[in-house]
Amino acid sequence: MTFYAGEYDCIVVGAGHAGCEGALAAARLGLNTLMLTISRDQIALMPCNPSIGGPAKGTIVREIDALGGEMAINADATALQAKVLNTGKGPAVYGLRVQSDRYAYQRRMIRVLDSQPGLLVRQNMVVALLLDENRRLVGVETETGLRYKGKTVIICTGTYLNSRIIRGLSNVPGSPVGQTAAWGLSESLADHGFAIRRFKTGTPPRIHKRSIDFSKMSLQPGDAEPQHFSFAATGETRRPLPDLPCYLTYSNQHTHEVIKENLEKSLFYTGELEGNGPRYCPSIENKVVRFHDKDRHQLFVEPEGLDSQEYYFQGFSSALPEDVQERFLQTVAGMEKAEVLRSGYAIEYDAIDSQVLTHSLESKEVPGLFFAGQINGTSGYEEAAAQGLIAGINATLKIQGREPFVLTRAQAYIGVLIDDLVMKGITEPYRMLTSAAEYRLLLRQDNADLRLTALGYELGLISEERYRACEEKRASIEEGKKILGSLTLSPKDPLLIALMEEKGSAMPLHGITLLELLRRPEISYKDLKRFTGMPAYLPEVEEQIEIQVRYQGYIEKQEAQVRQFNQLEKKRLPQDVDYEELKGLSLEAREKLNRLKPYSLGQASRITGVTPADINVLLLFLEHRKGLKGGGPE
Amino acid sequence: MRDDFTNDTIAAIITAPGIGAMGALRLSGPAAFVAAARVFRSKRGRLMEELGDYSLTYGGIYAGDCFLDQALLLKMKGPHSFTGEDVAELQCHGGPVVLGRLIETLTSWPDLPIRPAQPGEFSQRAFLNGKMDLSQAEAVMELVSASNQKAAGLAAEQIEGALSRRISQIKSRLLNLLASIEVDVDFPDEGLGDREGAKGWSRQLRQILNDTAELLAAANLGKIYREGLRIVFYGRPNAGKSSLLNGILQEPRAIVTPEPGTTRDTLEERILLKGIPLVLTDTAGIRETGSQAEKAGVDRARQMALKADLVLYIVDMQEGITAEDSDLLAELDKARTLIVFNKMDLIEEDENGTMTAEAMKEAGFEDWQCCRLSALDPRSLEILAKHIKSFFVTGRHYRQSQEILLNRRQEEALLKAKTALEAALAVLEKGWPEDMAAIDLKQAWSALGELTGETVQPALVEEIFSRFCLGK
Repeated sequence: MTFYAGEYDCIVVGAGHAGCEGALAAARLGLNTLMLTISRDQIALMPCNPSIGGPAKGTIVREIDALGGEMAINADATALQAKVLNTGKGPAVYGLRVQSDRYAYQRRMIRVLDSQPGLLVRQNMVVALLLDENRRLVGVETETGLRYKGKTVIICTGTYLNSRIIRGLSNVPGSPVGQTAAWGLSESLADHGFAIRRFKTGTPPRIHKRSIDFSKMSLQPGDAEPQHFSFAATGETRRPLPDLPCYLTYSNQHTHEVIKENLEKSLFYTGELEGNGPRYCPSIENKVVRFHDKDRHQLFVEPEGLDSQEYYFQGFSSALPEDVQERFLQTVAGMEKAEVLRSGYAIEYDAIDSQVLTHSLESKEVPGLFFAGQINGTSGYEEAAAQGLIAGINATLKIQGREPFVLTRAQAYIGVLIDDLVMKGITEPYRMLTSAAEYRLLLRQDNADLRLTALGYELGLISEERYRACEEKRASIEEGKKILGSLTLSPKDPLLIALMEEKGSAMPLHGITLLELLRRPEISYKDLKRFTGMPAYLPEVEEQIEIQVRYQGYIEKQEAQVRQFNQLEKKRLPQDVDYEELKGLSLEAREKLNRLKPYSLGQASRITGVTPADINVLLLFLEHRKGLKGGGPE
Repeated sequence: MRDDFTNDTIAAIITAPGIGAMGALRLSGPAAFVAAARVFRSKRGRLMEELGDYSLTYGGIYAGDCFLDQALLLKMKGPHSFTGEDVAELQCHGGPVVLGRLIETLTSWPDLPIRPAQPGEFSQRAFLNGKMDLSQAEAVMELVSASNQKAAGLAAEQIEGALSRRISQIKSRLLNLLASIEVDVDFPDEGLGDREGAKGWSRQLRQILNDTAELLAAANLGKIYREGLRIVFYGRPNAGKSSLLNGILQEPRAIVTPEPGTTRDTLEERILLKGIPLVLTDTAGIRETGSQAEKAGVDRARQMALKADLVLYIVDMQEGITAEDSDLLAELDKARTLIVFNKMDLIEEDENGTMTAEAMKEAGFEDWQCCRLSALDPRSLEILAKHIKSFFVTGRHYRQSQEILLNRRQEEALLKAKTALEAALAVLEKGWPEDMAAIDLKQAWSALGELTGETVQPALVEEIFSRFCLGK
C-alpha cells in the first residue's frame, strides 16, 4: 500500500500570485487546503516590475477585490505611490497603478496565508502529478518522495517549470531567484498527455540607488490624492503613502548603436532560440530593431521597496550579455555611473496549451485538475491572480457538486481573459489589454464593485457587511440621479449664469435640470454643489453619478452591443456534433470546433481560424437541426 | 451525427416557368452525376465517367425507357462549380411538360434520394462552400431581378467583388486609426501613440468619412439604375401635369379634366426612356384647399417633390409664374428642378423664348433650367426626353466615376457606418475622451462588416437566401 503524507480537498502547487489567490479562495470557502512551494521565501514574489495595476490590469485587481480576493488589499497596504494613468482618455481606460514595496508585499501575503484557517503552506517541490489507471486525479508527489492525496489540484507553477535563464550566449537552468528551476512536473504532465510548450519573458537590470544621477531625469511623483484598489475599508490601506518617486529618462541614438552592434551576442538573434516572447513587453533590443525609426524610448526608474537600494529600470529588459548591458546602460542620461545589482535576463519556461481547459480552468481530460497563471500562457501578476481566484472558487464548487463559476466577456475583464485563453487560444504570453474587452466602457475599474460584489457574496467570499455597503452605494447612485433630474434651474439664475461664465459653457436658453448640466463635459458634480437641493454623498458615489450621467449615451451604445453579443452567446451548440460532417466549414474550423467543442455560437466565433463564413454555416446548421427536432436547443 | 443539409443532392428547373425556346434543370450535390446518368444518354453512348469534368455533351433524356427530349448535358465537377459541389445541368427544349416529367423522375428513386431545391438553395450552397461572400450572394439576386442592362452590369460587377474591395479599403484605413488609438490607451508608458494625437486622428478620420460618403453617393447612382430615376410632376393645380404624364406614357393613365384639383393622390408609373429607367410620379396640384382628401394629397406631393431625383415643375404659361409658383419653387433644389412651361400653344412666343425668359427673370429664377412645350403636342415628349437625358448625363448623378449597387439593407449599413464615423469625429474635435471615439469607430467597423458578411448577423443569412427565386 502506498503511504500518503496527507489528504486534502485542494492542493495548490506554487505560491505566486495565482497560487496565493487560489489557496486563499479554496480555504476561505471551507476546503481543507495544502499549498506546496519550492521556497517559503519566494511567496507572492514580484520577480519583474515592482508595481501592480495600470490600464486593464488595474481593473482586474479591482475585480479580484470585488470577488473577495486578496491582491487589492495587499497592494494597498504595501504601496509606495499610486497614480491613475490615462486620465482624460475616458473612464473605461483609466488605470490605477501602484508602486509596491515588493518585500512588504511578500511579507504581508505570507502573514495572510499563514493565518488563514484551513490552509497549510508547506515548502516542498512537487515533481509529479498522480493519476490512477483510469486517468482519474489522485494527488501529487514531491521531490522528497512525499505523496499527497487531493480531491482537486491547482497547478500554478508560474515561470518555474524547466526554466532557463538566458543572458547573451549563456543559457542555463535557473529561475528568477537563482538556481531553483522546478524539474519533474513538466515531464509528469507530458506523460499524462498535456502538450508542453516553451514561452519566454524577460526583465531589466536593477541599479544601485547611489549610482543613479536623478538630477538628469524627470521626477514622476504619484497622485496628490492617491486612490486605492480595494473597495473595502480595511484600515490597512497605507496612508499617507511614502510617495517614493519614480523617474523618467530616455534611451538615445548612442544606446541604440551599442545594442545594434552587439545583437549577434544574443541567442535570440543568432536564431538558436525562438521561445515565444510577449510582443507587448519587448526587450530593449527588440524595440530598437522593431521601431528603428524611433530615436529614443521612454525608460522609468522605479524603487523596489522602502528599505531597498535597488531600482528597477522599466523599459530596459534585455537578454544581451552582462558586459554589453552595462555598456549601453551607461549611455543613458543619469545612468553614466550605474552600478548593476542584478543584470537583466530572459527566462524560458514550460507552459501548457490553455485550450485544453474549460472556462472554469479545469482540465477537460482530468476532472478536478485545474491550471492557473503563467503556466496557462499569460504574463503579469494581475492576470495570474485572477486565474488563481477563479480556479480556487471552481475547485470548491466542484467538490460541492455545484455549477462552475464563469464570468462572461460582458461581465468582467476576468471573463475576457479566460475566454481568450480557452477559446481563442494564444501563441505568445498574454497580457490583458483594454482593447481585448469589447465592452470596456461597461467594465470600468470604478464600477467593478457594482458589477461583481453580489456574485462574490453569493459565493461566500464577500462579507454581509461589504455586500450591504455595496447595495447602499448602488441605491445612493440611483437616488442621486433622480434628484438631479428633478432639480430645474432657470436660465436667469445668477448662480447658473456665474457657473456658465466660469466654465465657458453655453448659456441654456430654457430651464435646465442639474442632470442635463452634468452631461456637459466641462461641468463636474463638484461644480453643481453650489445649487440648493444638491445631495451630498460619499466621493465614490458622486464619482459614479458623474460618470454614469456624463457617458450615458455611450454606455447605452455599449449596452446595445452587449444585447447583440448575447444573441450569439445564447445560441447553444450541441456537444454531440461531429463537425467533420459539416462540409461547408473550412478544414481549420472543423478541426478546431471538434477539439474545443464550444458551448455557444458566440464562443465559436472567437476561436482563431473560425471565420464569419463558418459561423454562418453553423447558424444555418442550428436552424436546420431545430427544424428536424421541432424547436431545438436555444 | 449525420447531417444531410450539405450532403444531399438537390434539383430544380432553372428557367422561367412557361413555354420558352429552351428549358434547363440543375442538379447539385454528391449524387448529381449519378442521377444525371440515370436520365441522360449520350448520343455516342459514352458513360458519365468518360465525360470530361467540365464538358458539354449531346444526347437524349429519358424517364425510365421513355424518351422525353433531345438535350445537352453540362457537367461541372466540384469544387470548381457555381455551388462548389458537383453540378449537372440538362438543357432541353422549353416547355413545362418535359421539365416537369424530368424533375418528377429525378425525385422518385428510393435508392437515390434527390430533393427539389428550395428557392435560393444553390446560391446558399455556393455561399456555404465559400464560393462567394454575402454581398456577392446578394448581388446574384440583384442580377436575377435586374430590370435593365445597366443594373445587371452593376450586379455582375458586385459578384466580382467590387463592393467588397471598396469596403475593404475603407476598413483597412479604419483599422489603422483604431489601432493607433488603442495603442495610446493600452501603452501609456511606451510613448508609442501617434505623436500628433487627436489632431492626426481627426485628419485620418475625415479621409475615411470622405471615402464612405463617396461610396454612398456612388450607391445613389446605382440605386437609380436599379430603382429608377424618381421624377415628380409638380406644380399648381391644372398646370397640365397629368396631361404631360399621359403624353409620356402615350396612354391615358391619369384622369384629366379641365377642373383644377382632379388629381388628388400621387400616381406612379415606370418607363424606360432612352435606356434610363424612370419612375414618374404625378402629384396633386398645390393650392390652399378645404377638402381633407385633397389636402392630404397636397402634403404628400410636397414630400415627394423634396425627395425626388428630379422635379418637373409645370407652369401654365397662360398664367405665367405666379406668386404661388415662386413660393413653391423657392422650396426646391435648383440642381434638381426643371421648370416646364406648358400650354405654349395657347400663347404667342418668339423663337428666342423672350416671354418665358422675362417671366423667369421677373420671378428671380433666371438661372434655373427650363423647357417650353405643349402637353398636347406629340413633339413635346421628344423635348422633355431630351431634357431629362441631359439632366441625367450632366447632373451630379452621372459624375460619379464608379457606380456601386446597394440594396436597402446594404445602404442602411453604410449609412450606419457614416453616422458612427461622424460621431467619432465630433468626439475628437470637441476634445472628448478618445475612448468614446473608439466606441463609435468600432460601431462603424461592425456596420461595414455587415456589408461583407464579416459581422455575423444571425437573422440575416437565412433571410437573404429566402428572397431568392427557385433555381438560383
